Amino acid sequence: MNPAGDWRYVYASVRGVAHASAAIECQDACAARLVSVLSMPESGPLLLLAAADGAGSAARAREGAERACQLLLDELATRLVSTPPNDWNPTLAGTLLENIRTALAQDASTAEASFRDYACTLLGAAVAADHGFFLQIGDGAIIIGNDAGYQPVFWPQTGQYANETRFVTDPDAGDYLQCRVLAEPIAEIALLTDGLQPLALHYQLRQAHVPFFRPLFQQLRAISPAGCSESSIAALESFLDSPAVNQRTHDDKTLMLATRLDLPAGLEASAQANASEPPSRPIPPVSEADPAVSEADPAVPETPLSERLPRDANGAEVL
Amino acid sequence: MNTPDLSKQTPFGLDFSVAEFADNPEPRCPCVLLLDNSWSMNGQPIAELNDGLATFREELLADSLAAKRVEIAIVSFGPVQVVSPFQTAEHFLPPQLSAQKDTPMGLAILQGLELLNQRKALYREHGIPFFRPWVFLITDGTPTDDWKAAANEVRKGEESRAFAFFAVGVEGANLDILQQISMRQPLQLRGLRFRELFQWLSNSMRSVSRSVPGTEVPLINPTNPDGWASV
Repeated sequence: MNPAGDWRYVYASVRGVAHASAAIECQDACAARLVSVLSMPESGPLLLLAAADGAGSAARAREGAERACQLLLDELATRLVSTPPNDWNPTLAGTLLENIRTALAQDASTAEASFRDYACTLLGAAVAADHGFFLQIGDGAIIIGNDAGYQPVFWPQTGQYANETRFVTDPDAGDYLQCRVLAEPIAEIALLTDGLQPLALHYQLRQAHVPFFRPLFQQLRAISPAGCSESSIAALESFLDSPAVNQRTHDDKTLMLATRLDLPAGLEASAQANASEPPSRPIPPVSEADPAVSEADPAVPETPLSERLPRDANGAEVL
Repeated sequence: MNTPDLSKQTPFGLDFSVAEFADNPEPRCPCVLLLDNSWSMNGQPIAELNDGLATFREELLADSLAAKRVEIAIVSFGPVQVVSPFQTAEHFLPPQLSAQKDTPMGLAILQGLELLNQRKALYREHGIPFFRPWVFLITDGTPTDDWKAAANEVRKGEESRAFAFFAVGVEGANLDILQQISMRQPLQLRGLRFRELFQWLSNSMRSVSRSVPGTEVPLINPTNPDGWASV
């Protein structure tokens, strides 16, 4: 059996044109891992995904983003493999975040650096046979669905203004950690950082921009065999660095895509036919109870947030 | 029974201007200019101010991102008039201001902040992200109206980070009162360096309009020896 199970996935972080012209390294990072669950070999491996966007002003932004992704995968592998998916719950995310913060603080102390030097956003997902676990702090998005439609799990956390968000290293990060557990099979999932938000999200409707995702997943489904190959990573990197993308965004950008929808061999053209079939199970809309998405006013309320948001990783005022 | 108001049912009552957000979904960086055109600005000062506005447009247009993101509105005072409602830099036409009467600075500030509130409401309605707005006041005189209410609004706005308010005094300006209006140190324009002032403003707007979370916005200190201002 393929160790990847049915998963086809690809991921890449690419430097934005603004950083390229200023000779600054890419401050995004992402990482993926497949973990087999020994107690339930028949249900296939657990797919773990992590993406992070290091704060531009943080001295070790890239390092912070990479470390946060690895720490998150380690934590997900430890906590979620030892917990049956039926018992996954959002409180696990709080423990996870605390452990990541502790490890980053230790890194900082070893390197005689400041904790804030590692400031980054963090997105994570764990997908089992019929459960999904998602967490997010800061902007960027996790999108789930299938050819019939795609939805964001959370809406990106921005502050009052377009250049404000939240980071793992914020003193009150725990207050803004979002977590959801879905007890249903997740067929396709994407993680992206804020550099791709203008292309991937519809801000007014607060939804995923389906024409962005549909063709990408159709391509991914056609790859054989399952798993993740160097050539598909190279193809994604070249897409993320293409003029079409760079015209719309100048920031670093990360995209992770994973699908376990099988495209019948030699029938790539049937992807269109699949689209007309109803999904086996409807994707639930983003929960109304979720405070991050049920906000009537699309902007985060001004006053309470503004007091907490000296939105620069060094605490300097952001204009 | 209420008589239906026909004027509200005709398509001509609709506001089609919102199509601009579909055409240009870029995040916006709003900037309100409050410009003194009282009689004392007559002659070279107003001419230099007009040239400065033309420079402002040119410099923003030279940056394709800023051209789509920076939005400019102008309220002149002497008397108070909305000379230019919010427009992206690519559509902004610099006005030719002429020196006229008195200096109703208080009312001009309130009018400018009201324009800004309306604009922010429109951004939110259309899901357009935006950066912290700038309000930029330039005067050469002393307010001829009640400015205390305006000063209060400026203080509230700065405290809630609703905008950043800057005041610039041209020679003859009452800096004591500007200091009571602006939470930031008012700046004194050196001579008539309006051109340098607007070059600085466009550079600042370009920096803000491309800033991303967690990045410092680099601003050049205008009171450098070769800058346009002194404190």
